[in-house]
Amino acid sequence: MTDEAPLLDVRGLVKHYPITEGFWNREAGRVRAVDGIDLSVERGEIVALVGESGCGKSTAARATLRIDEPTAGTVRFDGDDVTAYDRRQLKRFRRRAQLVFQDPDSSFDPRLSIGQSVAEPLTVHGMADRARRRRLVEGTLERVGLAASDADRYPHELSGGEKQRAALARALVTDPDLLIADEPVSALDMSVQADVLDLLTRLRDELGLGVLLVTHDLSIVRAFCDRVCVMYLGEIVESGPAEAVFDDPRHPYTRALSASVPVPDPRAPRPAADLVGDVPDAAAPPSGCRFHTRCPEVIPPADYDLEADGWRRLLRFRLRLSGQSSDVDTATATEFTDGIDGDGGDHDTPSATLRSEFDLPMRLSDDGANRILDEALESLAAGEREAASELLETEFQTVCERESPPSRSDAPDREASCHRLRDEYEAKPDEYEVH
Amino acid sequence: MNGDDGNDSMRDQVSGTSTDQASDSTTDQASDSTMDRVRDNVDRNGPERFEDVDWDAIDAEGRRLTKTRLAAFVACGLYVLTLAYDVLVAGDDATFEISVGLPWSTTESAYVWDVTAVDWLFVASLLVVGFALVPVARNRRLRAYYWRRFRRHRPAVISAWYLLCIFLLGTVGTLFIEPPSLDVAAAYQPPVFLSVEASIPTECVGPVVDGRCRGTWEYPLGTTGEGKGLAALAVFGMRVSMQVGLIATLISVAIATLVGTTAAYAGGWIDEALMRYVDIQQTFPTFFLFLFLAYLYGGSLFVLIVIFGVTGWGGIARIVRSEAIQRRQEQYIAAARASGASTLSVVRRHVVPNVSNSIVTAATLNVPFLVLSEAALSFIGLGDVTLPSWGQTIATGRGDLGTAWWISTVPGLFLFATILAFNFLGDALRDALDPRQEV
Repeated sequence: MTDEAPLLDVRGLVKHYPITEGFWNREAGRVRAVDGIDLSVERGEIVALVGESGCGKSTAARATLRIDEPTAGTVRFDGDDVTAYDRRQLKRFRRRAQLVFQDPDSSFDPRLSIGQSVAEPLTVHGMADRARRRRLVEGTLERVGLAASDADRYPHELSGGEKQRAALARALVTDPDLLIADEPVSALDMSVQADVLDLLTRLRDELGLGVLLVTHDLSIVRAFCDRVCVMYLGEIVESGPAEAVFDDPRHPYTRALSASVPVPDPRAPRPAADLVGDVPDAAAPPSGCRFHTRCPEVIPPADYDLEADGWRRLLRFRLRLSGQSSDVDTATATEFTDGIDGDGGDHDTPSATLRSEFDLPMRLSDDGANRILDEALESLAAGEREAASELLETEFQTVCERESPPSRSDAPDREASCHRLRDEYEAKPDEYEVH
Repeated sequence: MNGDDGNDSMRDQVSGTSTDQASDSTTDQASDSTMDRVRDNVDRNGPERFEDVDWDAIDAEGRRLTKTRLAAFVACGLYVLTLAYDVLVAGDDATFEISVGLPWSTTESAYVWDVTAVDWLFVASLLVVGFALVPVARNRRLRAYYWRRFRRHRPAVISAWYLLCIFLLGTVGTLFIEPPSLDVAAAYQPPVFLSVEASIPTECVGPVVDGRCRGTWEYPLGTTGEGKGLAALAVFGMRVSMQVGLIATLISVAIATLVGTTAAYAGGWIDEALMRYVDIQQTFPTFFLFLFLAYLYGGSLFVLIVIFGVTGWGGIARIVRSEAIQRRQEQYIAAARASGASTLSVVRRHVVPNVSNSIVTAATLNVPFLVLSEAALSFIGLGDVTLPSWGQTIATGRGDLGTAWWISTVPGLFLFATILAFNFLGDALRDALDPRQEV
């Protein structure tokens, strides 16, 4: 690390979208698309921002460039606060920080030739000399591996890979210091992906560009990026050097993500716990650690001696019941038990029926916990969903939903936010092994 | 300057490095030396690269006017000056009349052009259309491309030529042709090559053969009951039709584009207010508004054009709005904004051109509607009775259909052909202007 300020330094960036309703646009809630993220990009460095679809990574990219105004937080570019820029300064900033988009098909105006589109930033920033613009555009097109004559072609005459190269040319033509690439290759074929990323790496070396690569594809992160920030539901859960983060992930989400990268070997061991369900609604993010609703390593309550798998299923049921998770269908619960009251069915008790229905273990490893679950299931069968939910909520609490985990750094340049990193919650060595 | 050997060799070098570096991106030494080679190569060949641009100098330079914009400013200025001269110096500002004679000739010159209010609007419309077409005209490839696609529609090509003739006759021709004048002696003359019973015309201008009066070249399309030449009437009718169709449509298109893009971009209550206003305006009958104003101020062509222009944009505005909302989501808009373009320039450069095919189609279909409306209003006697519009002429010939059929038929045929031509043109333009339909 040099003592010079990093090229891009984002602190506590927040982007909320108000949900409005009614004629007067009253604010009914907020989608917390980005909820306080920190990241930095040095010159000549490719930093990846990864996460599932809908975790807010594209919004973060756009808010960083003030294409969408951030709700809060500071963005420092070359030491200057971008969020404090006025129109003039912002325009100058746009010249030095460029964005490359995901979909090469829609990122070019079908009515303009490639040359006109690539020259647009030059025109915008006041270069009035037509011939000079043309020269620069042709030179830039050649440097991204296209022909100078491609300037006269129209977007529909180019392939996806060629268009993405042209998009890079458009981003580079004003000689930026920072390039934010929002899923630049996810719309391209695998072979073309590698070409475009090679090109990006080469340009990075050649021009000393700082690159923020927004992607959901972990395989390209490892191959092309220097550092990585893993994002989940508007927050960064882990960051560090790309190799280190994927070789030895600190956060369960990172572990789950890297485990879900397909391995070209059908006999390779599959991870025991894949990510279940979708990313929760960003308008009502889970309390505490936002990942706890899907976390394969969520910490069990201290009062009971629960076996990991049984606890996870219990928690998932509990969340379903209280309606915090999105796949609620409690109405069917009473319906289901109403049905068995008469004829008995396969299981004798309502508790057993519901246990099999809701994917709960037939016996929990802790007797006390088992009794409480029975009690809750009986009141659920009696149609008292509220009571059942309340009982489970007071009895089975986890630190993961109570407290937001602080960010911890255990090695230089590495950070992660997980309660498991605290000594008292450390997982037993064999507990979450990949079988 | 480009595409020479040097640049080609540079490209080879560049593609060479990309594979080099993929394999050993960690060994800085190797990649650095390749980089130097690339750099040397570029430097030797000398074209300016984007890193070499001195942006501070460009910033310091400030805004510079492009040639087109300069020309637009000059044209605009000239227009305003002449208009001011017309209103203030030429006097008689109630009628907006000016005789454009040569300033140094004291005698009344042969070219007397009484520039009416409608003429002023017409000139302004032509200026606007002219400058709107500059980007297309300058781009040779685009022009050739559109022409290639347009040419496929034979009827449309013929229509275009026909409309061009009508347009030129109506605008330039009327400056040189004597306006049709009353001449009772020449009433009911048949068109040339045709004949009519000698008793029908008061006095046959041409020869009378076998008791039939023959048409002459003096009145190639015959005359009306007042002895006005139908050829001259048709030409002056073209002027009226072109003025109504083009000016009112242009007013509509301008307002519609402004309102549509504003609604799409501003959103929220502005969008809501504008679109609800359009709803109200759509339900309001323009015809009755015109009747009302014709009753108050007399049915002048100016009023008619302004009424149709100012109230007829609702439909086009809706089209523009919905298209603009779609376009706004496109990534090229985001890309333009990310590179620092202002909303106004994004709208001008990307949104409007991309909705222009819908605008052009709607406009070309609006023109025949207006031409027909004007003819209809003139026909029922609500137009300007002093103007030789086609509808007016058709109406005057109505009573003589049995004896002098040509009086209503000649302007009727022109009207029919013009409407048809605009419809063909509209269809062909829609096909030609949409590159997304390209196979």
